[in-house]
Amino acid sequence: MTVAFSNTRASDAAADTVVRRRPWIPRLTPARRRSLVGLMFVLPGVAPLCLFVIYPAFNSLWLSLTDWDLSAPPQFQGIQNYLDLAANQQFLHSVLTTAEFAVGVAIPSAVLAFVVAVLLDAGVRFTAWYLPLLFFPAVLPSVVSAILWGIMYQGNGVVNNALGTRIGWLTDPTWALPSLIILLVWTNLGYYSVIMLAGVRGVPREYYEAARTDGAGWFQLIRHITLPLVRPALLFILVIATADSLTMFVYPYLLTRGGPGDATRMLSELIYETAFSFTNIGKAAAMAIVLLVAALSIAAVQFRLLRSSHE
Amino acid sequence: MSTRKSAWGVLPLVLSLLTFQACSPAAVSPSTAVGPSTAVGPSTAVGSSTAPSSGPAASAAGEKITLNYWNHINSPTNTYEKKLFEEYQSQNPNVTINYLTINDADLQTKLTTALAGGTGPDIVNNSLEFLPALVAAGSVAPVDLAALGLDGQAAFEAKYLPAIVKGYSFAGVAYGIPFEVSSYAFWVNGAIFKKAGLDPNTDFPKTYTDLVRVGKKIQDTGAAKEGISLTMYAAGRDVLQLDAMARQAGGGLFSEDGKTPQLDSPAAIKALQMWSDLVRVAKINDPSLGPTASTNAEDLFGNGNAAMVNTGGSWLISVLKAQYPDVYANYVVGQWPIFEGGPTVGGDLYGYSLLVTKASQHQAEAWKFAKFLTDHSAGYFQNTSIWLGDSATLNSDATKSFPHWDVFSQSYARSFFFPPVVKYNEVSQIISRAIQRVVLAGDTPAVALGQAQQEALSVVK
Repeated sequence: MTVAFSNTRASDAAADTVVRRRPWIPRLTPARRRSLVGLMFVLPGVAPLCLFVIYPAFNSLWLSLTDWDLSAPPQFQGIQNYLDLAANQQFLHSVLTTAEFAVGVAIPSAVLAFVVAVLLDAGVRFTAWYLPLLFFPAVLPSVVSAILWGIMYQGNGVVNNALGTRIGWLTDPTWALPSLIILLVWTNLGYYSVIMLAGVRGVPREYYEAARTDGAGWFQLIRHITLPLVRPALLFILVIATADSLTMFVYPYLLTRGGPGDATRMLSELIYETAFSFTNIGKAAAMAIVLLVAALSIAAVQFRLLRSSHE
Repeated sequence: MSTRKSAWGVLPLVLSLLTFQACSPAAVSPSTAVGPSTAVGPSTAVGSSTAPSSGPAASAAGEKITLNYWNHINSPTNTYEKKLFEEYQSQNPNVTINYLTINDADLQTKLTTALAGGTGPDIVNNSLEFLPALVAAGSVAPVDLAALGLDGQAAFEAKYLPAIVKGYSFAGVAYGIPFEVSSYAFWVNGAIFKKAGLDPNTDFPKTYTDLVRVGKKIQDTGAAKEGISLTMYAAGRDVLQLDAMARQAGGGLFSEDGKTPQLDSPAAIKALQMWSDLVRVAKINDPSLGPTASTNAEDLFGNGNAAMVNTGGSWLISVLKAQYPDVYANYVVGQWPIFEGGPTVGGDLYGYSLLVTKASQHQAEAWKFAKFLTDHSAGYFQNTSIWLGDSATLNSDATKSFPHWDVFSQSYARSFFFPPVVKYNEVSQIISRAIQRVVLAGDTPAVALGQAQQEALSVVK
């Protein structure tokens, strides 16, 4: 701050005036004020995101470059963990298993959600009952669902009795992964159906009327009107379902622990085991970073393929 | 203008990152590494305080102390111990016991991460197989013999059987107090046997040939859904079972010093082949009935699905009495079946060790509490059917009047502890996966165990 004083006794008001230069403070214009208010509103949401997602992600990136077993400080070792993973057969197998699981969950989830939404939009009876029933699995705690289905999947359980089979749903390597896929699809079908139903009901009726006037059939209406216009909802479901299945931990951990053999050993369970059972934090962090990159890449591809033609 | 807008938009992100970076510890390591929690028993603070143990290393007289004690879930034991806590706290009013029971399969994982994060217990009852890893990591304190009222290692060795002393010591130093020592006996449901036209005593299987015969008859007559319930998806139990069978076949899964895996030895292959044959050839065990990753083989025995089970120690009596009274009224217990003409080896000895962690700030009080618990060995035995491993209880009137104690004591005499493997966590998972590949997926034992051997070698080197 620069202060200039007048030392004379002149009665000149200007000479007696102390000239001060105020410190530079950005003027709080209305636009800036609005921005600041907006920032304050989003801060409660951004702050936890930074604390629980962004900071741990960067920390994990650092840990992935170290050798650390919790008993001593981490030792930097560059990309050695990533090189080890590239040659680790169990990790590579786990990546494939996770990819199978993700595809097995995402696509049926989207298809079934669309089918359910179209049926509900067609005005079938008792719609008000179907939606809550469909949504019920989504609000059940995952542990409860896992235990229930673990009992249902037993050799003498409900599923085998209903189908007249004697399949080892959780103990046969052929069926273990499909069993988990069915469970996760069942869990989220109601939730995705609600989202898709909103998308289907958002299609202007006039389009259907105009198409019918031109002689379009039911299948053509679905293919040329409904599907293109529910693309945003479809994209949302595919992205969420993929992300959910890539990070699914509770069901395989409680029901199969990655078995039988390695049939259901997904990356999330392998990361947990590597980190907390084997205390190889660096390698586990490297796996987690690989999973993060894969998930982001898949989401980017999905966005690109399914982005609206209006964009 | 757009640049300023972008800057304002990034501001909360930057502010948050800077804030949290300032708040984070200087080392890169996170302050608390916690894995997802599953099947954790309720944390019971028996007393007024639930604060974690803290305070200066040397506790002043009358200072308020909270001891965190972790144990695995076992209903009769947990119930009995809560009564002991009340007694201890009435004798030591300045001490509060904070009790946490954890699913056995998860206890080691939670203990390791808690110790790394500085939130571990003062005293823990952990599976003996994990003791080598904890000793190697410097996480546990050597046994304070003076605090236990013993005037040296010789006195410690005199208190327990030689095999037990060997299993709990490293380089001649005791690190764990024997706490729950058992071995798996063989159990049959007498009612199911009778329903199948068998006599539970005369038809009690002595060899695997007998086992297949009675198992098939039980299933053919529809007396039970499966002849025998076998462990699966529980790495610790899977290893104990396979190791015992391998010893019965003339070998073992590891060298006695725990340094060299022998997973692809002829004895191990023979053992796993028999296990697979019970399931896939004789079909007297149906893995689709369970157990799953969340249940135990004894549950299938207890609820009548299976006529036999081979993963229960003396503690199973209290469990059956409390949870499965029908089976409790009809069980018969004896020795493990063996290979025809093979050595008379029983189920592996296993145990738990009472450990005081080095991180504990109340080690003196923790040892005092450990002595209190171990002094109630007879009470544990009477209330929970669990033997703490001491010779005094083994030869006491309590055991003489214990049902079938002759069976259990004979079992201890013909059993062995699993060798002390430092990387037991990883090795047990490797062995368990090999068992699943053979028993559930139909792989040949030689191939599966050969792969497991290579994996184990890369882990232990």
